[in-house]
Amino acid sequence: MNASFIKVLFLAFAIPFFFSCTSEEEIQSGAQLELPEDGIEIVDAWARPGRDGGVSAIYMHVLNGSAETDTLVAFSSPVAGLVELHETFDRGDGMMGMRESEEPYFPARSIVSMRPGGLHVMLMQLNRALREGDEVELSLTFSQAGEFTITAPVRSPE
Amino acid sequence: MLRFSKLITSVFLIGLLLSSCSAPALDDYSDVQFELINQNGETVIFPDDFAGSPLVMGFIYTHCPDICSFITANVGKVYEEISGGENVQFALVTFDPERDTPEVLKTYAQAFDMDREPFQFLTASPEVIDAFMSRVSVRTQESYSRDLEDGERMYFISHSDKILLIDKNSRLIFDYGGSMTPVNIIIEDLEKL
Repeated sequence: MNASFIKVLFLAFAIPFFFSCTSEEEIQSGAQLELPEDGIEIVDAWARPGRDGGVSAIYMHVLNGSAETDTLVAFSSPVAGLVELHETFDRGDGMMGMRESEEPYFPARSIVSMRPGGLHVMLMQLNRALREGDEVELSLTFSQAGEFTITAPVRSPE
Repeated sequence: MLRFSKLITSVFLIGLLLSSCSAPALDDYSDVQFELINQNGETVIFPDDFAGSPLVMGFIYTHCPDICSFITANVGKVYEEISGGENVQFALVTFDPERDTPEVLKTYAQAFDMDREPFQFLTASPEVIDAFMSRVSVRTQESYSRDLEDGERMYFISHSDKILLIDKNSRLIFDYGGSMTPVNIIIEDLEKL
């Protein structure tokens, strides 16, 4: 068997194997966000659907343009009996878990992104169903920047 | 002899290529039977009632605020985006049967606009769900709980993040990370069946 024949066979085997049997990892690129000159801005908030009596999650980007770390001290929403800051985490054993975030801190001149599979504002004890096209009001109180009330559209996860 | 050895080598390598790209069964569920209940209160036998066409099956609980909504949405998107998928079946099974009754599953499905064919949201008695989850290798563990002011106990569950692709012969063909697997990957695999 000559060497060129083996090379051809190897390439015929290896190239399709490599390209057809490996999956390309999707890279999620975030939106281009600019810090405000001062204070806090909240952008791109959205909520996922939830059943009446059930739960939902709100995602957003929190942009802290101030020179000080700020802390989230309170939440409320007219659609939920209970609102908390939670985070989903990979337990490292093939299971996903969730816990209340113990660090509701927003560092100076930084962006904290709440995204699926990570940090999120959790709405519990929903008093009505949240369906695609609805809107959810959420009030967030920061120790430095004060209270913000935002409106998050409900949409299915993308 | 040289020509014969080239032929053998070619056959071997082509066979290796094909076997590496096709999907051998990871498991076979045809020897089991689980009596489940869908969101309409109808009895569904797994896998018998699904035999004959491929099944995309995810695992959720409705009090899951984050990951499970993406598993649910991914199963829905596979249906929306696959062409010629009228023969494909779609099911989401809860591992929290204490809270996820058929009525609760129905309102959950409605919130996702999935309370319609071909989607089935399935539950069962805790004993059946435990046995079922064990058989399909979905692990769960209560992770966080506390008593609320109204006396209700709130708890969350750590769990496997899974979507399964089961073929028409009740064989497990693929086992995906449920919430983060790109839908097009699942569709490509479905189209190979």
